[in-house]
Amino acid sequence: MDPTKEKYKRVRGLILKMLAYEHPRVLDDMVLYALLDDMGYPISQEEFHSHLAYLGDETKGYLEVEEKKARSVEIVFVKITPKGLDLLDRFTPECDPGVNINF
Amino acid sequence: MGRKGMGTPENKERAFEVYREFGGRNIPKVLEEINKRHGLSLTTPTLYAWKNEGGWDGRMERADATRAELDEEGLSFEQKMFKALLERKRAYDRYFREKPIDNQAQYAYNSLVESLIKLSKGIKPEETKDPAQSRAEIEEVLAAEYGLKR
Repeated sequence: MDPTKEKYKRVRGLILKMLAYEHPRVLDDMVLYALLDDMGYPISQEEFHSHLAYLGDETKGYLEVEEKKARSVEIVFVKITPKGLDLLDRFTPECDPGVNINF
Repeated sequence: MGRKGMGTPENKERAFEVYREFGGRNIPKVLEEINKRHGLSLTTPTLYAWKNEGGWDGRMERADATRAELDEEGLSFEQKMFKALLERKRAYDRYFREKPIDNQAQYAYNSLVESLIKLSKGIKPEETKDPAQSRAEIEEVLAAEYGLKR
């Protein structure tokens, strides 16, 4: 197994686990990024947003990224979906090869 | 590869990488490059659909803004994160002034503040010199440069 790919999978799994811990609350995307570093997975902003896009893609649907706008400012939340929770709880018949939750 | 099977998250990410590389400009060239590099047969409407669906322009702007903000030299990762989170906290403060408070935003704000506190505990303050040591160093310089002795 390519260590880089394994790391991608673990980071994705970790993102879901942290969001599940907060569920039904949401996490600010920057906080999620800081938490990843805190958990020993420092990654670039670009990689982080790539993982969010991957996990939030309509074909995966494990999380939702919500942008809330006020007059002069925008904040970004991330929230795990029921599908994401099902994946973590192994309620789905098949595991996702792109996400490692077994660690 | 059939067109229908192209819309995987992996392909969308690959396409976004190329789109970002070109700064979101020159779509025909972006399209050509994506298809050449990744062996796809993406069409312009599909590319636009992926771009809108993934909010690529917003993603690109946010990444650039954060990178510019964090690119300052001489700061540790924790210090950079602290600064970025502090900036985000200010954004929330403005958000709460402009919009009625909603629960989700409040929860996100709370976890943000918790992270800030945690990070602030981990950041070591810059070492300051002992005043006596500083005085001795100044006197040494004065003596060496100007022959002044106290």
